[in-house]
Amino acid sequence: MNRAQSSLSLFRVGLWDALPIAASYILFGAIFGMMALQAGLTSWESVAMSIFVYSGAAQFSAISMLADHAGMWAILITTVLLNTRHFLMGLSLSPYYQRFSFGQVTGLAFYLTDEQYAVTLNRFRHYPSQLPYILGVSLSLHTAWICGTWIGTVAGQWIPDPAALGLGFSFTAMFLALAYYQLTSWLRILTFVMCGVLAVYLSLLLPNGLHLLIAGLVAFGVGYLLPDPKISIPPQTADAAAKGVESA
Amino acid sequence: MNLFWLYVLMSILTYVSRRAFLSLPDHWLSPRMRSGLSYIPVGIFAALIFPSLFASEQQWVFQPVPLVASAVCLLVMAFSKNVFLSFGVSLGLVVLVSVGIL
Repeated sequence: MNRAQSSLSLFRVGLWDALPIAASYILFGAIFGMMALQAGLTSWESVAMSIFVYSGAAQFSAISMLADHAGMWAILITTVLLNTRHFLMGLSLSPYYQRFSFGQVTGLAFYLTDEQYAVTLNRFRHYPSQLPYILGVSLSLHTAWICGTWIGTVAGQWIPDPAALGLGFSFTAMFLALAYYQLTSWLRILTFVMCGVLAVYLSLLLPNGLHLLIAGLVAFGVGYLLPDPKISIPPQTADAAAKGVESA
Repeated sequence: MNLFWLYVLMSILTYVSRRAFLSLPDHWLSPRMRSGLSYIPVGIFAALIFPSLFASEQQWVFQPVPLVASAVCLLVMAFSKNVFLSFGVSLGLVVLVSVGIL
């Protein structure tokens, strides 16, 4: 019973921590739904894409390319390029997923988005990686994305333009606030700025997504070549779990 | 185009990229490897943040409002250590300027 309550409590904390991003997901999902209709998809086809593909960048690119009558292989190659960043995200999460079974990791992998990565990684700084928490974050974001898409397909004409309201900044604001916790030494700050400058330069030259992969690889190289003595095994003990819950 | 197969293949490609390295064998995770892995978020966050501030549609841009809001976001984080507050204050600032209230 206590275990069940604890799981429920962790699930709720996950939902709560994901709330600001879930709100943005609804809005941007609605924009996607609206654009998908304009590209010629039906309401159900748009929602199905959000349910099964669940990748904002790939979905926006795909409908834009569908509207331009691009071929399937062109869309699939773009999807691969946009998704290369997930290789490194998965790699950096792997120490925290060691405690999960093969089946659990296989299930959780579906929900690995940029925002889920940012929110859960922030949690893992102080607490063990716990399945109910990750599920709380993941399911709320996926649900928000699906609901947003559906809203966009049925009420697209009433959706405000996020750019006009400045809401495009919402993801940047969340990433910045969460990145703050990563900047714990001068070397990390320097790496952050260096990778940022490199990413801006590369984003002007390369297809979407590759600049993230390269910036992540450069940062990995810095950490590998100049090992940080303070890096330890992530807290996975019962003591750490017993500390309770913490919002992001 | 057959949307069914497009969705199936997009889903598989996206899923495989997410699943591929999510579980590594224990013996791969040496202290040096862990240090390298701990730096990946620094690079990923930088690559998510900087281009959104300085690049748009493959062009260099200078956007004072998001830049000031970003500074505010980091300052609020430094003083409050509260992600929600930093997110809300900085986003609120951009929204107020965008709708012409500030």
